Amino acid sequence: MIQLAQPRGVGALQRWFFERVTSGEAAADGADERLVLGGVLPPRARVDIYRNAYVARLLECLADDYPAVAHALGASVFETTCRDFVASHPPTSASLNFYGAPFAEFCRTRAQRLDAGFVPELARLEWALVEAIHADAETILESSALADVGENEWPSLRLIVSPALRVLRCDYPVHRYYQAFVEDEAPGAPERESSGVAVCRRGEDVWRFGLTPPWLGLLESLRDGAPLAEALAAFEAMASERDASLLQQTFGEWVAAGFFAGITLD
Amino acid sequence: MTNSTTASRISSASSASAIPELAIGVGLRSQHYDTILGQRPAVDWFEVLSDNYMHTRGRPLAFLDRITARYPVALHGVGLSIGSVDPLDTAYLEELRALRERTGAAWVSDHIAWTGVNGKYGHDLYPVPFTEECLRHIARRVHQVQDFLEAPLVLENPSTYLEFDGSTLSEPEFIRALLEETGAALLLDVNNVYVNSVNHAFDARAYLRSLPMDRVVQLHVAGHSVVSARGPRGEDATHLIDTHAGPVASEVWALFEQAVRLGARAPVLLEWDADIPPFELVHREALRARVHIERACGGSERSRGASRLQPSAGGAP
Repeated sequence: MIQLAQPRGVGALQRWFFERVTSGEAAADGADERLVLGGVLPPRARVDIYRNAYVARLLECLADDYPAVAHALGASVFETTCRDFVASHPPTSASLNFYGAPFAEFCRTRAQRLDAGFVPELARLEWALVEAIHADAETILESSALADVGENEWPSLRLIVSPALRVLRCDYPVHRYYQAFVEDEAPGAPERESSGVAVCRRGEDVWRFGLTPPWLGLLESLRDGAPLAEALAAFEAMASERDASLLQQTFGEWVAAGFFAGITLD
Repeated sequence: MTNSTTASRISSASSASAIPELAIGVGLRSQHYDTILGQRPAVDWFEVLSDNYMHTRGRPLAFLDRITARYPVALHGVGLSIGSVDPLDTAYLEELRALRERTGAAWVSDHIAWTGVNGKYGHDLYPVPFTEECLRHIARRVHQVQDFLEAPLVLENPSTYLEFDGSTLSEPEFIRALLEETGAALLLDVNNVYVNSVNHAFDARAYLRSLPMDRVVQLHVAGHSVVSARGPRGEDATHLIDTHAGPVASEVWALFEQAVRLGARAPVLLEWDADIPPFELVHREALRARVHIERACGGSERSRGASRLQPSAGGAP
């Protein structure tokens, strides 16, 4: 930060104006004394243009980040929820890229009032997509790197996950709900059902994978730093024959989607 | 107040620019990535909204890298908050400098405005009072930014919906003094001049005549929205909002012609940010500037018996 002496008149004026613009009430007290009178609009109406724009911009930001939540809640409840969020979360960054980060937790605290228990988890998924978009995913593990690992090194091999990978364990099938939403199927509220979902980005493409429990367990183990051999042994112990038969193909898809950034050998 | 060495840096930076005068550009928007990268339209240059490519290490930069490999760009920001009394954000400046280096941008611009105070951000461009105190405050900060960026800053006249009481300078007087004091250059947004002239009831043509056109390094045109309203006593309170939506109004093109006649020979950029149509339509609207440039230059240049106009040609490689 570069600190200069504050110009007192300008500072007082900015603090007064910013309070008027960002306060929840239709407060324009002092406008007649501080603004030029005359012209096409009265002072309060002029302040209101900025007040309305402040809220509209933040609502638009949340609507961009959470379209499936908006569908799940319906337009009216979503807007009310967003307005309450905006009122309690003034932006503290020059960028709006991460303004919506606390929205999933905000929804969780209101889940009962929203009568939609799955919405906070859906919001987590949508936020994971935003994070994947902005994360650094420059370094990617190529499958050829695994081919170079010697047989005696496999037991100690660990995978380094990409900074763009997010793995979510959910109490609702939010991946299935989201998929139906993007396919314009207008999904209804789902019943409880344990599920998992992984989100990652490689280059310009963002990938989303639904995960059944064995796959979720495997990916969580790898993310948490377990040796590959150990994670695979745990997977095989709980996987069905069909899941086990898909291991090589699925692992290849994860590598291709950029889940991993590299390997380490102890 | 004393002028700084930045004035000399302006001319050298301008001459080194990869964007020729009166080249016609379009504001880069993510909705158009596929068209731009897939069809490689013949656009002279793009203006990149710098804030959209800061605070990210991800996909926006991946797209931007591919676009800047093919087209010249300039950076245009909304988050510098040059008028705020909060300390200048050096982390923001560092990211901005890194983005300029990454993109090879011809210049970096932002608005004569502030966006927040006390560590809170309104994400809007708020008006400044046109006082000597505010002028000195902003000038000091412009110097600091220019020293940090090691390049002149380009400042845009903003659209506003209110004016603070107590101003001792007019808006063009304030801008002229700021540019003279700092050596910064001007991004003249013609739509903003028109919007403000309606909202604050001043003569837009007189406003343009008061500006130092030799300091203009870029021109903006855009659409705006007309809001019909009634005042408290039932009087007409129709006003304009700078929405960057829709085609450029004929009144704005007329002011644009006047700016060119007055000597503003700078790259032209169309901003379109709301209800964004397909790229072809936006580009076609931007190219309307050629007709107005020719009309403006035809009058003034013929009278001098020579033409300075170099119509933009060629587009992207």
